[in-house]
Amino acid sequence: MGSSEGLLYEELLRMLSEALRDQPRALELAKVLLEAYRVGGPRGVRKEIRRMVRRVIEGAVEAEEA
Amino acid sequence: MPWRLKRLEVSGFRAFGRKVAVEFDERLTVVYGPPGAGKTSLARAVEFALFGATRELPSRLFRREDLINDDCEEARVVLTLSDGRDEITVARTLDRRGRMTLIVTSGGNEFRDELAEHYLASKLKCGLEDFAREHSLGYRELYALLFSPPAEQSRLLDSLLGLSDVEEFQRALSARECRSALEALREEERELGGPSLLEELERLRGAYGGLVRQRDELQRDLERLEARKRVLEERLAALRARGEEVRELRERAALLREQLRLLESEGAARLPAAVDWEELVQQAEGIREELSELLAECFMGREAEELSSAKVSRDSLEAFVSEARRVASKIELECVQRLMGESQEVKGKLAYLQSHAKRIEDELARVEHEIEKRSRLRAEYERLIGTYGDPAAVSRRIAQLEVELKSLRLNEDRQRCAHVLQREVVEALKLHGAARCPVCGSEVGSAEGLPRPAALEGVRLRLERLERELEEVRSAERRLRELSLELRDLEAYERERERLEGELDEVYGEAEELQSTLGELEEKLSTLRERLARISAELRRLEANVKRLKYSELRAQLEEVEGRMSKIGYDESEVGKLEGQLKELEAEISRRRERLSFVERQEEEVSRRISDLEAKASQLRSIREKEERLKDLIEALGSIRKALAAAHARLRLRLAGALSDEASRAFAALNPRGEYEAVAVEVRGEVAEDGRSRYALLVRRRGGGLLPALSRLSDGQRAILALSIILAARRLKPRRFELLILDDPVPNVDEDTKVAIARALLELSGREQVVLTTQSKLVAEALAGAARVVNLAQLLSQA
Repeated sequence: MGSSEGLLYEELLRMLSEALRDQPRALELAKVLLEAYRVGGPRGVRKEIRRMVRRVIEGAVEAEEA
Repeated sequence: MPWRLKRLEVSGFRAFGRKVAVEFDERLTVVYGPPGAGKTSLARAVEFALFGATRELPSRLFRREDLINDDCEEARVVLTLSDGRDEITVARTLDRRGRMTLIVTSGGNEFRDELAEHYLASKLKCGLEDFAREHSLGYRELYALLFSPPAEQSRLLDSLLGLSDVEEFQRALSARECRSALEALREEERELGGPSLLEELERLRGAYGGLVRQRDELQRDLERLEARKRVLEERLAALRARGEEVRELRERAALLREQLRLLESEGAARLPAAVDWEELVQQAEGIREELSELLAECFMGREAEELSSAKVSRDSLEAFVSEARRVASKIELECVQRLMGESQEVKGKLAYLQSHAKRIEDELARVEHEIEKRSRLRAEYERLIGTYGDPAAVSRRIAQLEVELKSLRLNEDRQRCAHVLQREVVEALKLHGAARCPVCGSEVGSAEGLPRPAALEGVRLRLERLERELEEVRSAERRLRELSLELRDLEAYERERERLEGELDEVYGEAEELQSTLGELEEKLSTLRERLARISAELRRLEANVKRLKYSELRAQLEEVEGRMSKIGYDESEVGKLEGQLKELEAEISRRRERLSFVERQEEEVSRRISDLEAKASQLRSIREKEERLKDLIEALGSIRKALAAAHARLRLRLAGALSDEASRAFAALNPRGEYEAVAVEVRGEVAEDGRSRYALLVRRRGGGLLPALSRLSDGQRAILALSIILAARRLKPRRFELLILDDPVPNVDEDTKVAIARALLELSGREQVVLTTQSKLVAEALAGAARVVNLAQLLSQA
């Protein structure tokens, strides 16, 4: 993870999937953010969250859904 | 294969004054040397090459310039990395002025300075702090793992286990951004008006409906009032038309009366009314024809044509009279004046000719006087010629007389001389007393008694006669000369007289012609004046007749107008009444219109406000939708964080157990003769203020229970424990950068333990590259066959 390809990633993903099995949207989001962290670290996660917020603010979600 | 160290060249860096090159083994490299040989400098040289700094640099006691060897001007480190396929060469230089240059060469590309730093960071994906904590460890870092405060110890262990990444990920899952956005949306919502906006919108919609009804009602009222106004206006218009007709008739009557008064003042009423319009037209036609003829005679062709082509009618009689007067006046003004002018011109010429004839006559009289005078002189001249002959004969006679006279004078002079001599002889004889002349014998008397010679007298008489004659002839000659001069102009005078007489005849002839022309002009002028006077009289008569007839007609018209006025019967007070009603109605309409305009403006305003509010309401709905989405996002992030915290705790527990097992194995391997057989890293249930669970380091005595590690272990055993934990953690968590530099990690253990540690590292080097620096020659010798051994002291001596 982060600067290293940790085995923790798979373990963590498994644990999160188990914990969030009743919240598919949160699980989906967790996967996206975990991938963002794996690729870009904390900055990657913050960037992804910012992107999500921007999509909400700018209505990109509706456009995508449409 | 991950990146590994291949070669390091160092010069001017810390302990390395001269250039030293170290080749690294892919697995294990042992660098040994005595204290101060540069083992730590070598480890820091790798940090400097990769990050441009070393872990000490943030310290106040250590400046970057301190990295430069005291004997050198610059520090230079060239590090070559390899992943088995590609190589990266990092060359970093720092001079004493603090200028640093970096050149990274990779795959034939060369990057410099800032670009090179970016490139390097993208390859390493690791900062100096992480590198110092995980890849380059000395005894200080090992001891820090044991003796740091609990929070720092937990942080270090979490880092070793990779749990710090989970924490970092957990921290990164901050909903702060979402909350800021949510707050901004709420602020936007508040600015838009929030719930009161929708209430306001509903209220305005109600008000708008009321305004629409009010407007419709006002429009209906207006239509009704407008219809009533139209009826009133039509009535008023009809009344005004009658009033207008009456006013026109009054004006007409006034005009007729004025015209009648004017005609009466001109005596039209007293004129006999014996003619009708037809006769007057005929009369006018006669005048027109005569005037046309006159115009034509007066060489006013164009106007004559116009006049002859203009037929006179009853309606144009007055205009014709005026026109005829104008034409007659024009004829008088132009033609008579022209004739008078011509007459005056002829008179002027005649006067000039008369004065000219007078001048010629005077000149002729003078010339004739001169001729007459010269005629008299000519008679005298001819008489003198008859008396004395022509001037040549006179000249000859004068010459002859002068000769004669000269001869006579000579003779007289001789005789007078002889007489004087005689008297002188007598005197002389008497003086001498002689009584007789000795010559002639005559008695000598007195001298006075001597007789004058007779010839002398005759000569004298002759002389006198000749002198008189000469004088006379000379006088005649002079006169003849004078007359000749005078008579010489006679012929010229006679020619002048002839010319003057001819000229005088011409003048007289011309004057006679002019006189004739003048007569004709005066006759023409007289005729013209007579005709104009006749036309003028005709026009006066015609005008009088026109006036009379017009007077009769005007009277008839006036009677008719007065009859019509009395027939119309117009009441002006009714107009005022209707106008008053109309004014009131218009005021009412105006009030309603103003009200309607006000209502329409309000309606427009409310409509615009509704549009604005609807737009805002739409915005509000959109904002609320976004808020909901953000809340969902925040909730999801919260759920993830919660799930992550649980996962983190479970992972920590599991990893702590795994770490305990691995560390126990390593501890046992590094310390085979020790009294402790196992190491336990436990996670205590308590959670500190920073949200992190605390770790407890424990050791198990052989055959005994777990005890706190630090209170039981010696200094050397503590170092081995720390190294065991680090090696165990590296087994559990592979790193992207598979390198471990151990800078003399356990200096305070015996040589056998050092060798045991080296052998353990040799085992580890199967998974990652290990660089071990040590003061122990025994360790170097023990690993000489299995690892690359670098004798630093030897290298420095060779440099």
